[in-house]
Amino acid sequence: MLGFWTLDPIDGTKGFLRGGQYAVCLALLVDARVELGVIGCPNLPSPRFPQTTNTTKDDDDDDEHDRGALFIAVRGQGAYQLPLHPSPSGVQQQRLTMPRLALHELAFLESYEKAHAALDTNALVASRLGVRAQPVRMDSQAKYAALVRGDGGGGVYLRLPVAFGKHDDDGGGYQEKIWVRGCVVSRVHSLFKFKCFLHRRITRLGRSSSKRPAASSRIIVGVRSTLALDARSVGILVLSRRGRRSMRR
Amino acid sequence: MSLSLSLSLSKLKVADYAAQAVINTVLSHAFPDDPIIGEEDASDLRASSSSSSSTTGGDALCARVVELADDILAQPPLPSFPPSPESESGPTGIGIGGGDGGERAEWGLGRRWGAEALLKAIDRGKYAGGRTGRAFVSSLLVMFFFFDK
Repeated sequence: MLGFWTLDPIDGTKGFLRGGQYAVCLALLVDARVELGVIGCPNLPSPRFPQTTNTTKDDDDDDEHDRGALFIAVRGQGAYQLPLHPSPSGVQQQRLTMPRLALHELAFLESYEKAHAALDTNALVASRLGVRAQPVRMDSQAKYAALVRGDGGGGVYLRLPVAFGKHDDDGGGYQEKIWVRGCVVSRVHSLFKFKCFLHRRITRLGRSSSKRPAASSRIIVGVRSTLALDARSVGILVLSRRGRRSMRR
Repeated sequence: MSLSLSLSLSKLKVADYAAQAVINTVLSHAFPDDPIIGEEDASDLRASSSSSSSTTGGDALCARVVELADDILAQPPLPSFPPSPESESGPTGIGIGGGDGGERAEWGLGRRWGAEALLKAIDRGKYAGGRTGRAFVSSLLVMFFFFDK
């Protein structure tokens, strides 16, 4: 049995520096499986003040106790959020469930930094999907927390590598996993179907936007691989369980 | 402009090291045998604190990290979080810093540890990772390439 903790004490350096989103991320992996994930997000709105919707910028005037949320997921036990600054009366932890959003309600969560993800491609995918809302941009793995909580009307975190489609000439081609996270869309019913749906859209996108063969052979969309690649988020534990259940159905 | 940038950068370093010191101290007490892959190691802090010049920025950095981490570890318990009715099956006992004195001591809480113990705690994050060596831990992404086959 190989088990270890991983810690990123401050994820989202640039977010930290500009007073935006950053996250303290801790995970326990046992035999390459995430068993426990904890993300502390000092600048996300506190669960005590869900009406504070402005998640990307903070305001020097507001009370620091309005901000700060802690997210905990334990395999088999669900995902929870707690305020970082509890009130004296004590505040209950809240169980998190993926919000169900219709397609027209979706918004994309994106990196703040253009260098970290192909945001242009995201915009194309969003328009193909019929997503009209402006993307919500924030730094760091706070995005996963926002995703499971439904902050900013988010719902989909699609992270396409910047090099997508650019390195086909350097022999063998560029292969990258697409990281897709999304809520169960009511029209699409399950994450698995949503994945296939998105995959088809992207494949078509690849055909229409370039003369090269379809991108499908180069793209692996998969919740399982996503789990392995970036295992530390609260959202994924929730997603993967739900995804597997849906697939069995 | 450049002064405020360097101030911000040193704030970032303090936050980075102090967060790792606090979390590793707690983990090392609760799970003494568990390896930890952390982003930081304390060699920079050690180098600066042992240098003869006592007025270097690095020395101040080390002092600030130790002070901040110890403040957090030693702070009195926060109000605990009673589980809400619908979450009875959820994880229990996740009140931050809650529990009685004995339990808190087991977690390394409720006392100041001092520079040497905290630097050692930061260095607990040096575990090399799986079969192919130290996992790459960046501040942007964490990718476990070694099991992404």
